[in-house]
Amino acid sequence: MSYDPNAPEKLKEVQSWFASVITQPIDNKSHIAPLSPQGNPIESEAPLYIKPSPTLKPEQRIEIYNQQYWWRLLNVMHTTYTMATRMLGYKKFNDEIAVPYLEAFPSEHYSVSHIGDRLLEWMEHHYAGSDKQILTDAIAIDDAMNRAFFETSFCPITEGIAPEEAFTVHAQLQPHVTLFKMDYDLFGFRKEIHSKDPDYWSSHHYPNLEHALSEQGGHFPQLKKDRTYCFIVYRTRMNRVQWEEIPLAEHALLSLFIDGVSIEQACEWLSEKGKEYLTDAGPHIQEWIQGWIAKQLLREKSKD
Amino acid sequence: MRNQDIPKLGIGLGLRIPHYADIFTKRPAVDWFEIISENFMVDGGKPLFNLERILETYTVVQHGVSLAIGSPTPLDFEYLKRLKALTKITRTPWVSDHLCWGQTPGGHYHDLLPLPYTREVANYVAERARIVQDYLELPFALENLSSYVSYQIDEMPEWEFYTHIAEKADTFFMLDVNNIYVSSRNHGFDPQDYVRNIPLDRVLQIHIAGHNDKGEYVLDTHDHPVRDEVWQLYADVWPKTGGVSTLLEWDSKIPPFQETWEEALKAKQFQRNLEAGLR
Repeated sequence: MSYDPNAPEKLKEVQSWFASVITQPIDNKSHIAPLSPQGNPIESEAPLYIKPSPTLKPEQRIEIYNQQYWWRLLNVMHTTYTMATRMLGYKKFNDEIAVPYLEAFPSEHYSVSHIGDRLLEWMEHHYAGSDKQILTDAIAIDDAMNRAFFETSFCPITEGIAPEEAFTVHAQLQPHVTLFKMDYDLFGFRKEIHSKDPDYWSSHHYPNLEHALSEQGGHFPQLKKDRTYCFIVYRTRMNRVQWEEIPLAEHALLSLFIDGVSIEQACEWLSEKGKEYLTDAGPHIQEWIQGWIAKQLLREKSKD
Repeated sequence: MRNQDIPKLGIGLGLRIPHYADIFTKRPAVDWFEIISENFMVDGGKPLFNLERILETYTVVQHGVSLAIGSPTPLDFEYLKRLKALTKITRTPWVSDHLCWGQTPGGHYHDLLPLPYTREVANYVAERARIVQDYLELPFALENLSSYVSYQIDEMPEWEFYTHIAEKADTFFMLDVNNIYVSSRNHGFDPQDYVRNIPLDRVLQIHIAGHNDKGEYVLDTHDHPVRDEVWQLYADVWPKTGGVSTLLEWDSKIPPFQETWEEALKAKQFQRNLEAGLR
């Protein structure tokens, strides 16, 4: 992004300074940092740009914007990444994920709903905690829930054609559909911890929950790893965001539609390359395909 | 441009998710709803599904929070394209956003940040407002902010800056009377000076809202009923605008639908009282 060539120089200077100050993290008591980003005491630098009010000094006035910036963005992070917030508690989530992420990747989109667009990328490259895998999975689930809410639906593959012709249409998953394969039941755990606010989990323990085996590192859930779990997140025809556990073989078949394939080709794949799934899939495949069509999970593959 | 050709819609409410169930099931007799444009500038999904249900019954007006017209970055025509596409769906009679900045080449700040009130900045913003109105092909209004800072380089009071932009760009005012009150407390001016010194026939809509008085300053929180001082200012300003559309904003600690609507209806009572007083 660049400057508008018509933007007044003085305006650019004031805005650049203002932005640098309000994006500096506030402290635990929500106070502005004592030093400006330029390294000067804020009480000597702020008066160069900001006038005092009848009741507040310049640094107290800009502190209001500094607080609003962080409170607003952190609130969006908490309401978007509901599971990670509950697993870590507000303070740890802010300190270890949200604040360093927002400092590394400031918002690039006009809509605040895109604020977490690069969080998984940040987790991969910057987060080093031993809980990295489960937190990354938790964030991916909340991203999928968001996508299921906001993403569009294209015409289903059965639109305007006879049902039998749908089998040969080169199809892919609708943009609101996401598949998961993991070795713990994180969706079941999500349902359980969502029954209470994040503050509740700061003072209560997980082991009473069905899906949490124990706590790790003091207060962190460790989930049972007893088998492979597969899930699908999508938006229903009634526009409700929904998740379901699906069989491993159905997950394998649906995964083919990420890149694009016809239903006929998916069936061929099962009998040629996916033989390991054949026993489980055989008795159910017709029912699964009917379900995908009824739920309108598949669209014609885009030409892009 | 003056507001005589702008439709007078009556009393409206900001459309908020906690009220959807009441609105969809009871279809209350609200004159119109204001939406936050950006919430519906999406390709599809549940937001547009809900918007279509609202449009079956109600007039919808678009109010934006992310144009950031005073930013030092180029106008975002991808944003404007989506905004204009939404106006075709909503058939909004006008579009509004805020007289603020919110973006630099370093990112978006998701806040309504106040501008320095200089002639050079006013000319810069006016040119951009003119372009936006021409592009949207709809009446375009900028809303006065609640603000907590003023700049050393300010050359004029806010009302002069605001008027200069509207007159030079030939755009409209979205006048937030709560914001006038909040800023008057934070900067130490008389709110009457504000309303006396702007051309009220350029107002196409009024916002009312509650705020939080923190003693040393007043915060525009939209989480309280409208304060008496703001109602007083509203009662003074509204007739001078020619009776423009009025909207209650309630964005945080949102009460049940009926309670929110009753707060908005106080505006109707003020209007009736004023009309009775005129007879």
